[in-house]
Amino acid sequence: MHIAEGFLPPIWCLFWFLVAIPFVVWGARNVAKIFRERPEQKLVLAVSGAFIFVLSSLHIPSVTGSSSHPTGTGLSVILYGPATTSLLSAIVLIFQALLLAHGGLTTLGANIFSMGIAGPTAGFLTFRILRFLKARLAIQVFSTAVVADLVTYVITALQLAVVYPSASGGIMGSFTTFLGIFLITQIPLAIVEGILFIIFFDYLKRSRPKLVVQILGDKM
Amino acid sequence: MRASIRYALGVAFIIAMIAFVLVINANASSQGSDDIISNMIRNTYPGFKSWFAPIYQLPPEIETLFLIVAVVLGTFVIMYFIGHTPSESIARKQEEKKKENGEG
Repeated sequence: MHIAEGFLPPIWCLFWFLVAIPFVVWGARNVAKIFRERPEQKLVLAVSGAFIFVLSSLHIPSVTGSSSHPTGTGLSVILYGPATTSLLSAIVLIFQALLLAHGGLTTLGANIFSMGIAGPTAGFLTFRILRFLKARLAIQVFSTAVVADLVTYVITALQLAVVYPSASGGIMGSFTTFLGIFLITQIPLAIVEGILFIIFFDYLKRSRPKLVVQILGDKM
Repeated sequence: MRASIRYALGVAFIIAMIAFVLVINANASSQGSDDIISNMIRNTYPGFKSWFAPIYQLPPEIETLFLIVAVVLGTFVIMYFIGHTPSESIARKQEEKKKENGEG
């Protein structure tokens, strides 16, 4: 989902930066609050960031012969919500743009919006709805991770389609083409990501039950 | 089923899925979906020219090195957490045992 350097016109780069910055600032305030009021959670926050760091850097081959990367935002979304996830994603994306040639500085705002804001927000809403419906924890975690991952790619396809509409089908034509390419690679990877987070969250719940209850506010 | 067996089965399933994909796509190019779309835009819009070039371009070897360092650091944090957690619970149990012995 990393839109490459210079692929979005300057006006769109500015637009996505303006949309992303408030969320990142909100996330920074959340992280500062966690450090100040709940320092025992620093390590869990670091682990949430590490998952984004590792999973979004790894290009994994998919069944279609092409490769892509998971986003790794599921754990952070469940534990800390979309705002904090936007800050963690922004840190990872800056590192990747500067040192790994993934994405770019001009497209950073757009990439933060898709991976750090839109995907996590959709994942968070899914999580809250499934909690309200009292779905099994494994289903909550799996669905959150999968939705956060896939929505990230839906938004990236939309960001590119708006700028590069097709001659025949317009924005919708480009959107379906880009989305088709992304999703056919991404769906199997999102399922793998969901399974990984089920395992880790189950481990977290067993090894640190008090911490999970403290973060989520009630008993799981 | 014990949690450790469940975790092992889950991890084995993930590894098996990735291995299966690698085997069935042994001769595929494994091009990234980002690159496929970037190339499609370049081909669909013949006049397309990126308006901003990266300020610097690291050699591929150095990029790979940074990628490995990033993945190793991230994995270290996750593994530290997993390794550190049982030691916390062991320490807590030892503390409880000490208290019991002290009171007894």
